[in-house]
Amino acid sequence: MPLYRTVVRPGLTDVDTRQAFAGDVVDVHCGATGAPPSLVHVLYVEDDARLPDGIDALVFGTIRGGRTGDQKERITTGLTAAFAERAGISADAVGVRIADIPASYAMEDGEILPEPGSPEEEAWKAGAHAT
Amino acid sequence: MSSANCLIHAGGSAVGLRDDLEQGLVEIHDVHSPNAALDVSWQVIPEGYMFTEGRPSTTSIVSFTLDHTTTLPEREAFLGSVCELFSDLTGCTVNEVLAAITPPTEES
Repeated sequence: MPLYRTVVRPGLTDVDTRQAFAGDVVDVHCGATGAPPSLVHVLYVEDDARLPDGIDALVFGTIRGGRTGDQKERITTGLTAAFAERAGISADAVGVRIADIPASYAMEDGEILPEPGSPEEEAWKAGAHAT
Repeated sequence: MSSANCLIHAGGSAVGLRDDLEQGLVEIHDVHSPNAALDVSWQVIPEGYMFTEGRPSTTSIVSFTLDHTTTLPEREAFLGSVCELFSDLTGCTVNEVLAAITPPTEES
């Protein structure tokens, strides 16, 4: 967690583009939140049927709840620009949606995730997720 | 009915172990929710379609929608059992399993 599911038009991206954008997601998400990079996942689905007219890519980010509006705005803006550049399309054809999930509903690395900004998160980052 | 959606990787050991993993998930669910059914679905991710930390991913993702609410200790035990199941059967590390429960909506 976070998990960014990216729905794209079939044929829009090749594997190099997908990996490059996945790296962008790490930079943007971690730059905005300070989250450990090792837990940033990006999954691609090629599916025309899930894309509205005029949109070539929709990024659905599921992130831990507790992030500020400013952080989410930085993520949305950053991912929109990054995907448009990587895929060579207009930013108007990229959509980004962010959804919160309470951290305590997810387990990764065998541990329930800590709430952002909590003392538990500081200890967690200093441990196995030190960057 | 509760449900579980499992994302696993093409070419990974989990692909050939789906029946065993599904049985394990049903048994774990039954421990925590006796006599309640669990519908399990699978999605196999092709190579080059999932990345973790910007690199090709080996992480399996198991997402549950449960028909009942849970406390934190219940979630910790339930999700911990799921991670151990995948680790035990597939040989992956617990670092390669993300397990989550969809939080209940306010209407439910």
